[in-house]
Amino acid sequence: MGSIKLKPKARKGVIGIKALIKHPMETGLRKKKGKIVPANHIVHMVVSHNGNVVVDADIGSSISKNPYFKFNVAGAKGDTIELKYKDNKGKTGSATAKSK
Amino acid sequence: MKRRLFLKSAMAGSAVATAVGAGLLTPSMVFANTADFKAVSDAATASSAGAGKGSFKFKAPKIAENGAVVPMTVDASKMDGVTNISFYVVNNGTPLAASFNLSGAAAGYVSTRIKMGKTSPVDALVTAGGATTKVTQEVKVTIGGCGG
Amino acid sequence: MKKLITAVAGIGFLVGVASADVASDQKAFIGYFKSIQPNVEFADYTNGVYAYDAGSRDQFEEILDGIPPYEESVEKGGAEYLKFGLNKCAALADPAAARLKHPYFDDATNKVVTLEGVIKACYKQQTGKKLGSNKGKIARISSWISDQAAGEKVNVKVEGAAAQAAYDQGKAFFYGKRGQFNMSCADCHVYNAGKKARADILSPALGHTTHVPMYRAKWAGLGTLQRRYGGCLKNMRAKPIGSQTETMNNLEYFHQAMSNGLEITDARYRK
Repeated sequence: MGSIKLKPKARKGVIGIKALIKHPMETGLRKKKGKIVPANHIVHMVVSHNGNVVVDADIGSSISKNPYFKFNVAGAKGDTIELKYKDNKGKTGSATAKSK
Repeated sequence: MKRRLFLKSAMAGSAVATAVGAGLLTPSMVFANTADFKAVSDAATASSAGAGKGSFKFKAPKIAENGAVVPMTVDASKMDGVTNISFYVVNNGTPLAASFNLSGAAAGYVSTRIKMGKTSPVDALVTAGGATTKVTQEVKVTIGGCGG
Repeated sequence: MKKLITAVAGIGFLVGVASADVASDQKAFIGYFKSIQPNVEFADYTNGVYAYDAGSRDQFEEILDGIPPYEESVEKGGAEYLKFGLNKCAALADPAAARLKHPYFDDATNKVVTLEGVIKACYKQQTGKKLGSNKGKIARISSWISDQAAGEKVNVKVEGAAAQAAYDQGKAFFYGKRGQFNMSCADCHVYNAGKKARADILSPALGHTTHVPMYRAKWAGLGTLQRRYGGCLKNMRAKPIGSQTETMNNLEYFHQAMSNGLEITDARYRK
């Protein structure tokens, strides 16, 4: 739904990948002014390193609004990290960054 | 899409089922998560029940500053062949918060922030070499707080 | 409580005491906090309550170590600073200097001038529109401006009789009881700092203003110092006082001066 901040940083052979995705992560259980706010959350996320999938995640609505994730992947400065997600409404988002 | 009933749960026969049947509520509004995810969550429930005690590091606060944003980290980097890390909040509506399948160059490490509705034990589940182990920590959630 | 007040009175630290200058008041302030928490260093007060409690500090550090939830908003504030031409106003042309200068007492207008006050005035001048005082744009822009001074030390000046009078009013407000709860700011944030009010650890007033505007998990967003004042007044069931009014600005003047010497920080996260 929104922007993705993707910050991979390599240190001693490991890339620490920090990601912050702007997304409301509505559970579909919350009410606002008496009306249910419909579910609107990421359901699936994939992280790749130099084209290889390293993280394949099933994401539930209990993950906080504007989800934050950190992963560690063996790699080096200059490697390409890509993050893709899909939400329950079918919307997708993606970001690519070269590791620092 | 609205009128198709995906109901596979105990919701059938309740007022909710009627509402869904009338097309007033779509399945995505009724379930906090999709039916698929619920299946993964149920599998995690079974997994957690049978899991032995893990020796990996699980960091979660004892008292959450804010139940909407509870930071949690699993560091199982010292274990070989980690294929999955999952966070399971026992007292949440759908206990499974997320399930991370790790492969290739990924280390057994995940850090994220989770919503917790109330005080609950949280299970960190790590699957490696086909076996699942867990580390549990209770996280207290309070209703705060000062400042409008 | 009685024992504490006596001890505190001994260092000339109560309202009603003859008007004292900023330096002596601050010395007494620092001395008091040192006495209640001997193991906390002065510089640590930049992070306020997180200097007192390890469990919450851990969470604070986790959040900061990850990507802070306010990062994007603050960046947006920087874009808005340029977009609305705020860099064209003399008072804001050098953002780091702007953060360091405010609040200050303007002898010409006989009023305390706050950073948010100046941002609002400039915004009006540049766009013709009004800007709120508590959240949204003002909080983003003020946060970005404050970020530019991160690492510098708070240095509020109180010079001259008129400035001293405004400072004294702010001080009287801080120590004065108010609301149905009949409590003063000091009751929680000085005399009971570090103790718990329900599930919250009361933050020490020393260091309160190093990280303003702040991101509060409770607001899930940024808010100015005076947004927080409004919230506290509400909690005390006191009559609301509008932001950027003389009373609130005098309070801010005193409040910020009590953090003189502490580092301004861009770690804006609070509970």
